Amino acid sequence: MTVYEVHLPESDSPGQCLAAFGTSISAIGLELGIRISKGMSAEHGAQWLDKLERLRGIDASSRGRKHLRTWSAYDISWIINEPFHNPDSPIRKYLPVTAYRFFDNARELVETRNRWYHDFNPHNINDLAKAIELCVYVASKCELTITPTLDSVRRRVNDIKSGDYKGELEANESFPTVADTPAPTPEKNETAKIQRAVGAVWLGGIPARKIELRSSGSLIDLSLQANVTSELTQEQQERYLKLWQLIFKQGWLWVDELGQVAAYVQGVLRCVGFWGDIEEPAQDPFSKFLLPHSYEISPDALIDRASGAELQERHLGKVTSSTLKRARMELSDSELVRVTWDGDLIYFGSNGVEYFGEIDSQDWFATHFSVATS
Amino acid sequence: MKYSIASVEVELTGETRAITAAGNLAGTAQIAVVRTPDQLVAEVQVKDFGLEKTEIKLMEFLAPAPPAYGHLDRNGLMTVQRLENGDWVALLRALRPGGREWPTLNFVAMEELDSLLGASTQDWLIGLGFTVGTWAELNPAAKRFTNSIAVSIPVEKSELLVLPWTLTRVVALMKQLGENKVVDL
Repeated sequence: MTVYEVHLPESDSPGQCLAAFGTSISAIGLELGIRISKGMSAEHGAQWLDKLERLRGIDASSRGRKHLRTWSAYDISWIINEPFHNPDSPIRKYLPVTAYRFFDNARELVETRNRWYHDFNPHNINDLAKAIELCVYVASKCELTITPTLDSVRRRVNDIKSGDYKGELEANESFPTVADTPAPTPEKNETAKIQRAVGAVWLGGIPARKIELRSSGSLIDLSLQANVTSELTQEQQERYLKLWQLIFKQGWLWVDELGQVAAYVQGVLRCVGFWGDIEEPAQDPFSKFLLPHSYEISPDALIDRASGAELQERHLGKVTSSTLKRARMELSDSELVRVTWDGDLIYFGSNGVEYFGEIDSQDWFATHFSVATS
Repeated sequence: MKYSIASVEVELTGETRAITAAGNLAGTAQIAVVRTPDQLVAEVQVKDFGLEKTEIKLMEFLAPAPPAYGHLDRNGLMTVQRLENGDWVALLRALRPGGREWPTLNFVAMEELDSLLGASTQDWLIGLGFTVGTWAELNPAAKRFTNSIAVSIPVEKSELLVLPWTLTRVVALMKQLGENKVVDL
């Protein structure tokens, strides 16, 4: 079989997580690609991929759409999307297309791959566990020989998560990581780092100023012994304070010199908002908190994947409708898109991430937004 | 001995402390320390007053308690019963919203425990030496909650009950068991 080695993670570090996921997804692509290439070459000759992609190009342009051709039969996103979008695809017979929720899970795996390569947020052991579940599912449904190996990665990940696996790296402390390398000039007051977005994993240490969010919605500075809620601007109160109350009801927040706010969300320190009369930085839309829903957008519908409900597009406002229009122009037939908590429509594609514009919460599925967009 | 449960650290210190009441020895307490990534540090005790009364409880916050855990020194008690063969048996209920201002102990499904742990809870508990079943299956004296999940364990390993206690109390609070999902995490 393939000589490609899947990486068994040794710890929960971002590098170990990336290595495990990257090699797992490559191994799946390799084995499926080999299976497909062998079969297709035998049936249609060595130029089969060229012929097929040319056909797809012609078909797309006849419908006034773009087709970005693939050059590799080993790319997981092509392997999954070609048969998904084309009911007559010759690739279908190499995949368990009728298995329960096969395409749902396989496309989620592709989206996961895209997120991992365009955003650092997933590079942790919990996201790795979710991603490896999808890998094992796809591999076992496709009856790949790599399945037992992926299953051992899954077990290792669970052992690391539960602390059952301590790893060889811990015993061998000479293994250096970036975090161990002493900073060139260690200063007492570490300069605040610019955070990527509301929702991104916090970069750097915990800021000094500590604030308690009470269940009443008041913000108390414990060392000043003062209610400092009014330090937030009106708009920040309507957006961030509301978000904090929804996410943790009560809890601790830390504010740095730049007015960036940190808090633990389910045990992970994240940037959760901005504080006070400052100019808020431009945020990276691909690092923001996402709504729990994911959507499928096609030329004639936008569907909530969980419920199957279709967005009523008759009375959409200008902003939302032009965002959807742009997404439909940029994307091929039907793709998975996500919406950030504050209304950006984004897409984690195989060729990069895409930002299509804003969604007005008033136009959207009634219960999906927890905080109204401004 | 240290264990990690969904990034929460549980240290079984091995220390056993005498519990005295009015100057008399009333029982013993095995001491564990629980630390979460979001700054909870607390002492949890397995308190053994003999056959009549055995319980597991957070006794002391060792650092100011993050607000989400603020009630944990007043609720989250796990009561333990003894089986005829001497094994300890306890019901697994978890802290979640239940009509009061703070989370209270309520029914929890195995799938929910799995998502708190991030792995199969059944396999994890069995690996530690627990027997897993319903309350009625494990405890012949069960009257209420007969279909709830329960665990039993030989008395020599009884302090390990701190681990499912942590999952159903501390991890449940940290991961907000039963709360509506506002954003994808």
